Amino acid sequence: MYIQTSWLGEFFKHSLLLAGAVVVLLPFYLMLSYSMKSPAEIETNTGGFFGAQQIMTDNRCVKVGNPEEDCLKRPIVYNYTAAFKEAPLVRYMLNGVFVTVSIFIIQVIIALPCAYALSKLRFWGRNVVFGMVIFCLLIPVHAIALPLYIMLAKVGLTNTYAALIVPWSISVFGIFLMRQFFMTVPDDLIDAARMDGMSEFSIVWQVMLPTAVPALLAFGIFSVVAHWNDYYWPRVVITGNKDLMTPPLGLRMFKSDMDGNEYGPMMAATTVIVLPLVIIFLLAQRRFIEGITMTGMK
Amino acid sequence: MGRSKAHYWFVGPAILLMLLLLIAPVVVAAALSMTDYSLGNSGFNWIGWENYEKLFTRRSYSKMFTASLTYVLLVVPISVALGLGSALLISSLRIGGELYKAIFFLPVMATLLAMAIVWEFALNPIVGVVNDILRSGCDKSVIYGFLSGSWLGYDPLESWYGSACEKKFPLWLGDRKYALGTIAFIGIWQAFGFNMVLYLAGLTSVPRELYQAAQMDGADSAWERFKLVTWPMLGPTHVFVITISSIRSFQVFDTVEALTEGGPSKSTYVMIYAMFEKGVRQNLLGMGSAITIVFLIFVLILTLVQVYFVNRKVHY
Amino acid sequence: MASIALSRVTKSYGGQSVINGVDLDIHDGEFLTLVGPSGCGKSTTLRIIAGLETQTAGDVSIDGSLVNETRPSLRDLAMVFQSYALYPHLTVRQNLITPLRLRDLNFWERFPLLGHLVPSRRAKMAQIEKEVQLVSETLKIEPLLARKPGQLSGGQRQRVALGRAMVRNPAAFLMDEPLSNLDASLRVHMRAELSALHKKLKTTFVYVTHDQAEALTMSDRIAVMMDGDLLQLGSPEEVYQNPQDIRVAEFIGSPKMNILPGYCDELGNITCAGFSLDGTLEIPSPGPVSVGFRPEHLTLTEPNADQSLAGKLTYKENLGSDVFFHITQEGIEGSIIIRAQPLISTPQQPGDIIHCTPVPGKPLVFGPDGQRLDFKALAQSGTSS
Ligand SMILES: Nc1ncnc2c1ncn2[C@@H]1O[C@H](COP(=O)(O)OP(=O)(O)OP(=O)(O)O)[C@@H](O)[C@H]1O
Ligand SMILES: [Mg+2]
Repeated sequence: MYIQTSWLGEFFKHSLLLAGAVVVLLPFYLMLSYSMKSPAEIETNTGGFFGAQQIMTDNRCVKVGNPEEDCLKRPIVYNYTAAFKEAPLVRYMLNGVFVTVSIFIIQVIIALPCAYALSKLRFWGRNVVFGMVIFCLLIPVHAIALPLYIMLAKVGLTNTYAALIVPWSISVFGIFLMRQFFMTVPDDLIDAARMDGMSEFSIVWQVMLPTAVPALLAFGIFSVVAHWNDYYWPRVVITGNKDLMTPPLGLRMFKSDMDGNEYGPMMAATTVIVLPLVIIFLLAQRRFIEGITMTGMK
Repeated sequence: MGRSKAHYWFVGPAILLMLLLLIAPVVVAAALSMTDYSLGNSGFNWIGWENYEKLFTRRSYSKMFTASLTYVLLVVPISVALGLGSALLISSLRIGGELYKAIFFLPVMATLLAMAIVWEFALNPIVGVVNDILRSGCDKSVIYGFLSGSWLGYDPLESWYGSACEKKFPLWLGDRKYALGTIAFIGIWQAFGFNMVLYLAGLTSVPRELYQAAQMDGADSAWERFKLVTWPMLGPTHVFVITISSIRSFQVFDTVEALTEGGPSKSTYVMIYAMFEKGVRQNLLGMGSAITIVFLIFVLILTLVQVYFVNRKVHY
Repeated sequence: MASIALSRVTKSYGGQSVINGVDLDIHDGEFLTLVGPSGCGKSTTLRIIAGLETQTAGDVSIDGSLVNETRPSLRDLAMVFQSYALYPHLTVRQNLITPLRLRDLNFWERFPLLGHLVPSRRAKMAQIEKEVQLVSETLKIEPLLARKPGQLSGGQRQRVALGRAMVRNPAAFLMDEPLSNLDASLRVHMRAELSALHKKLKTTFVYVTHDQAEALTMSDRIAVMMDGDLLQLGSPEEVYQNPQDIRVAEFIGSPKMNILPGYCDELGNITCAGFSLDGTLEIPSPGPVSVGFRPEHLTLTEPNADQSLAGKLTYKENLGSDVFFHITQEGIEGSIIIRAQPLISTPQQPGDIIHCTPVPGKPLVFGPDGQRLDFKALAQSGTSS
């Protein structure tokens, strides 16, 4: 944007943005800081960012009957070990990875050929199908969670991985995005492949898939972020079975199971769940921002 | 190509899944909203418009609409304004723009439910840092004077800050007066970075030459150029950002479920949460479906408004 | 109307110099063209004149007064942009009104809605409307006034952009490649229109283009720029016939001037491509030189003629009115182009050996540093070009 800036103006802008940044970063700071502090430090808001890391007694450990000297720990160690012990965090994370990756793969398997057909094949009813895609774009999946839940309950699929994955297997948005992308791919490329004797199936997977990598990457980021962070849908279809819980749902259970004051372990668990995406984001910032905005057109 | 039958295999699964997972549920919801269906019951009765009648007459549902609409009316304007403001500031910076961009986008990426829990701790009336920080200003005369308005000649005890210092700071999520605002604050915190990025994209598509033309034409101040070039050129972005923010904030659930469960006294009883509570928790699927249908109609209206604006106002 | 003067203007972007001390006097009322290859700094120079860019060093003055610190809007210049830069959300009429509105109405009169209540606004708006009307009549864009730029053709947009510049009655027009987005025939047409407009308005025009044909046809004077330097300033004829720098010689003229390596002896005699030129250098500079022949300054001759340049015909380019022969010679890079009348050209076929000889007095000699050397042709009886 074309604005001539003076140094004073520059200073003013930075102060405004810095103030904003402080508010935005506050919870991240607190999360990391609390995950390292002892309960006393949390209660009194002392200890700076890292806490004093004074050896503390793990009350729970003592209650179980261990000798006191075996239960002395640094707060940071206590918080993180407690988080992993109290909640099956590893299981949650693996579930999260399994569910998001499965969803993405299935979405691509369904959407890519459909998008190819809609953009590059001429067949009777093509416009009807495309119209249907546009219509379905209007339906937010979260809004129809209830009937989906009923349907899944009727076929006995609640509390299964299938319940977490199947409803997301179709991404009309993915179809739309891929179709727009394929429209820009020259027909000559496909005709050349046909001349080489490729079948339509091989064209989809050997010609279109490689050309679509940038679009797929953007869509992948969008899909993975959305489903890793999704809390609503797992909340509806998973009731009580911790083996199936995804990270946000697991964290929620952890919160309600806890006796209120164990902020340290709670924040340690939160950190473990939030950090992977945040780190990947910081590493591939530009791609993420591009991916989310490009697909934000939803 | 007409000879090949490949397209059946290509579009077939997608059509099937669309029908099964998107269109059928809408039909099912529409049908069930006219019944008193519950899971586990063998049958159900057709009860016509009764669910809808309740929806528009019962007090708890009017609270639901109030909560949802208030939430949207708080979050959308503020997060859009903050998004636009920060995009304008960032794009005019000489250095550091990328850093702010990454920071403001962080909440969009982070798991909302997890961050909501952190906010809950921060807002805890006893040990939370927010009230701690506010309290610490009470005995610093400069801050106290500024925030309580006494520098403008007002009675400090009349002001919000002054009286809070005297008595106590709000319970935030536990207080009917503040709960929805607090939830909305978290919503804004989470969403404005997304709007910012959309606006930044919009801003880069404004040709530089237009700003130069405006300068030649006599638009000397940044404000004049904003009025003449930036604001109108962002037309399509505005429409898009506003619609998407509205649809997203209508769908607020995570923060409400984790922090207030609709309370206190239903002040944060937003639609999706109501749908969840009625349908899943209380197994009143007929009622839940009725809320679903009303919700879908809201989203449809929003989208139609968007389409209208895209086709009309923003047409160059 | 105004004269514009640049003195020792430099511009650098982050240490990288893009304009290296340009001195340029633009006379009142003249049509001056800044021409040069892409990236040579023409637009930057123009934007410095406009005030959209501040020079790193040097002075810009308009009508004798220094404007280094003057805002673009107060320099009383109007600019036509390459992409036209019309406000896409405003109608043509509003586009034309905007500069006047911003200049003539004060803050309160411009205020949204409330501005309409200010009594003085009315009379001013009526005056503005009148001026807009006048300009749109001149440019014949009246039927377009209610449309938006998106609904106009390229040529129409071009006209509206001109109109927006004209309504203000500026002291000078600055134009940055205004015709480059038009198709070839429309471009030729608009050249004539712009020239006519210049005659009519009698205002200073500063015109930027990378198209040397445009520069030659329209301007009173041409300023040739390259790599941030102003190489030559002069009338189109002068720049074409008397280029002072080998880069100017190569840039101006189409097809390009043939440059052949030559050698100068102690006496100032020059040999080149196997024959010696009729003439000597005023100040002999022994050593290698470059000799330039324009395609029209080489004539086909009989094979046995002495002092001829021989080469193999590789390609015959027939344009109808002219035929260009491309010939190559051992030891010379690229091809030599000869322009001939279609009648003369018929018998030769690609592969034939062709002979030609330069028109006496026309070859241009450049020293190893690219500067023009003073070459005097021998007085010859009976030859004139
Ligand atoms: N804002 C800028 N920052 C850095 N370099 C720039 C900037 N603007 C222009 N330049 C550089 O200055 C040089 C001159 O640019 P300018 O736009 O004046 O070229 P030009 O002669 O108008 O070329 P063209 O015919 O392609 O328009 C170019 O090398 C360009 O890369
Ligand atoms: Mg240029």
